[in-house]
Amino acid sequence: MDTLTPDQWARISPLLDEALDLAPDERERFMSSLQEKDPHLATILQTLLHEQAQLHREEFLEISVLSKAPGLAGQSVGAYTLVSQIGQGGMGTVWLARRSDGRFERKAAVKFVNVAFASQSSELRFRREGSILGRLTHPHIAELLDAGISSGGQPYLILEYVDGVAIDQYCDEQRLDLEARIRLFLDVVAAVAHAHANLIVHRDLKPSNVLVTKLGEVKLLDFGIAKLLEGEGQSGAATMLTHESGSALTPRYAAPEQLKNQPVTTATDVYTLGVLLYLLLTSCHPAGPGPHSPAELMKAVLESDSLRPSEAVATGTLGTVSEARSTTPDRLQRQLRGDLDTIVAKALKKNAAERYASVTELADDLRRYLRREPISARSDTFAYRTGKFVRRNRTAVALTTLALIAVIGGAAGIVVQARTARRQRDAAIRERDRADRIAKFMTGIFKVSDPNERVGNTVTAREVLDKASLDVGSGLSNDPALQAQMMHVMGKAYRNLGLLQPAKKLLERSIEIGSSAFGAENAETLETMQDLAWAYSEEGRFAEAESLQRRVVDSERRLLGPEHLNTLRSTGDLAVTLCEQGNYKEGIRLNRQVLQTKKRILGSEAFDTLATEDNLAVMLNESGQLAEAEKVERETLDIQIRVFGYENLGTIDSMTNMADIERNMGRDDDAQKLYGQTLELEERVLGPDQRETAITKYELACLLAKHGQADKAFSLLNQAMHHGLPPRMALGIEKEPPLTSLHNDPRFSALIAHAKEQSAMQK
Amino acid sequence: MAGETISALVGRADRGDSAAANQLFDVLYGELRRLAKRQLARQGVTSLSATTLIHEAYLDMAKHEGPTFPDPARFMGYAARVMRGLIIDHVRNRLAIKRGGQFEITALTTNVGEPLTNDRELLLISHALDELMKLDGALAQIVDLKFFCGFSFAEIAEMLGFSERTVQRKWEKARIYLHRSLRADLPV
Repeated sequence: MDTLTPDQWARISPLLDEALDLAPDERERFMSSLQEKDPHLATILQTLLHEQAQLHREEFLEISVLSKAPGLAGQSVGAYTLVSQIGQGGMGTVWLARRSDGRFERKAAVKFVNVAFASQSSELRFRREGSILGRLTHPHIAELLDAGISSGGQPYLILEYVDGVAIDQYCDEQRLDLEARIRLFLDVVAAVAHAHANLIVHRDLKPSNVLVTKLGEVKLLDFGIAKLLEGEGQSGAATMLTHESGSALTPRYAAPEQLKNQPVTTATDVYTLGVLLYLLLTSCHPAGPGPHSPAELMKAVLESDSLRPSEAVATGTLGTVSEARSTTPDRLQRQLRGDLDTIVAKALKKNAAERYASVTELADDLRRYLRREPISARSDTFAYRTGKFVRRNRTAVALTTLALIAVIGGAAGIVVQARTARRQRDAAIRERDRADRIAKFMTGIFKVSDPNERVGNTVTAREVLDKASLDVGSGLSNDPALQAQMMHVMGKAYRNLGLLQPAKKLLERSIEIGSSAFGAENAETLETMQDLAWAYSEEGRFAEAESLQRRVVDSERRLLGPEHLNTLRSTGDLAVTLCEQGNYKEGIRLNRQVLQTKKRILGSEAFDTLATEDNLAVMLNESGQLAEAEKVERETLDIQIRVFGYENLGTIDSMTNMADIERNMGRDDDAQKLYGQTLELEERVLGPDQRETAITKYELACLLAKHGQADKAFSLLNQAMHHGLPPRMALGIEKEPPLTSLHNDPRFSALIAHAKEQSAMQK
Repeated sequence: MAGETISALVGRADRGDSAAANQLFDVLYGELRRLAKRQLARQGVTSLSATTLIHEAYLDMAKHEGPTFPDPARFMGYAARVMRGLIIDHVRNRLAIKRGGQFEITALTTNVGEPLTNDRELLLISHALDELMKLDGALAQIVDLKFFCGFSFAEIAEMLGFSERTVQRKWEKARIYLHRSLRADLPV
């Protein structure tokens, strides 16, 4: 039999109808009963059914002669009928569609994905993932209505239709100022946060995926679709790289890890949100003024640091950019400088671990910025920094006003958080109330001069603190715990500024209040005593520091246990004080114990552990055990570079310590190189006016002077002494042995005169 | 439109009047060609589709003919058959020596990446469909609507008043029939 005769067809047709409608097992029974009745007919039917299965698999005639390609108007996709093409890109075409069944009027956007992009997606997977994404409902996320593969083998996505313009375009058209832009951006972050809570990462955030409607409502498109487009086990980068030339998925908005083919996480969205924020604030791309080839972009994303937003706006047409933000060039730069620079930089860290831990934290900082509250972005680094052993008063305090605020705000936040974790629920509620009061108190303080201006730009740290220390005595007297806490925080801040008198006054007062309210043996008062002891040792009153520290360590061992972090920190401080008095034997022994415990409890890569290890290296160096010092410092430094990167205060500190060790070992060339490298980092990370930077310049100058490079040495000394070198060191240059070769130079006399003048002015 | 109204032609064709069916074919053919040309001129080559053409043809004609015009489903059935004719004529032209001034529907097929069916196969399918039309009109109509016009099962079900499942089953049957006709060497 070839072509079925009409007669055969008439007989076989009803049987086919019947058989095709049956489930496989039913069909088997049907066939065997037919086999008995009419074996010949059964054979024909069996052959045809077999053929049918084959044709079904081959999709015979499945694709219309007119349209293998997607979406010609009038065709149906799922429950929708295509109306007109509204977009075309490397990824595929987008069509406006209407619901076909007319049950309700709803517009949709149908995206046909280029088969090349979906080659590895099985239909099942496409549908499965699509249904997960479909559950994502949020007012700022365009809903995914359906996803699947058409009968023609064409993968499609049906999304809520959004009539809007790209967010950057919207902001410029509406001439939104920075605050309005940030508020709009916060809606974007909220949507991303919602998706993250549902374990969905966007992966492809860019302005064209973030639309704003005429009503000013943000809508995110294409959530998780980048993932949908990848095959199993194939990451976005591969897709991106293979389609460099296409308009879709260029590296323009990709995070470093995406380009390096590393796993994509929520931190990836933190980065891409950072790029978006950068763009909204500055109208510039973090990679700098374009156009960029994909290769250039990749290099920029992976290797170079982007300009701060406040610097970036100056590279473009500043007039136009500020006009689009309803402001003047001057004001725009001033608004960006400081907090916004910092927030963007933290979101754009190349190392995902250094970025905001979640998009919510990014949002929190932006909200703090809008409320004129201190941001969190720097607090970690500084909390670490303030607990660190520092040789020769290198107190590591690159304290600008903003950083100071971060320390105050951050420290208060940390205390509150730590307690919420420890106590029962009612206590947690009390703490929350307290946090509110802290916030109010802080906001009060920061309204120092011009309430319309960002505090960081107009008020000095000193002013803020002075105002705060006046207020804290009166404003919080009905809450002694909070009063003591705030005085503690501010005392630390004064100490970090090198203002030891007010620091001691506040710390002593805090201890007094805390002791009378809760007794001397409470964790917080003990911590305050520890900080007071540090202030003593800064003044050179080591014996007093030591005796206070011993008391604290004893009490903490009893009260908190020997392995409590506070106890370990106090013991570490005691070790430092012992070494500062020349008692290296006991100091090093104690420090080794602390280090061992911290390694066990916190791990080798924790901030705290590394600080203690760094201290050990310094102690060994100072006590002349250079070989071990070098070994320990090398280990510490390697970990810090790996974990935190170079632009980290801890890393920089370890680098200077390493340079000290190399110098002491007589490896002057190595030391000089490392000082130079460190100096470059310090100038960039801390700024040229910081004490740290000045001290490194001083050390480098000493080395250069020793090797006869007088001009360079003078230049560095001059810079150091005019920009942040502690007066005590400046006055000591006459007694610094490596500098003796400079003594006969008239420039040296000028430096001494300057140092004396400065010192007199301070008094 | 000269002569009989479409409604009358449809009515007669429905009752098996082959002369009326032929006349209806010619009218619809002319109409669809006209619309296709207009669309091509207006929108370029990217968005021309059989379904749009047929929909537009229906709307156009219904406007002229008034309320007696048959319902869209019946119209679509005929129009799909005509659409096939249009495509097949195009294919024949493509196979024959090209002459100037011919209506080109390449626009309809530019998007066919890798045609499953070559031109000769298309002619064979069309021929087999004419045969199938005699055996089981609904089956042939479904192929016209789906394969030649690109309607979905759901749309076809609605047009013809079947359940979607029935349309699918009929489609499977039609495929078997057509495949047999194309590959006459298949064993039983």
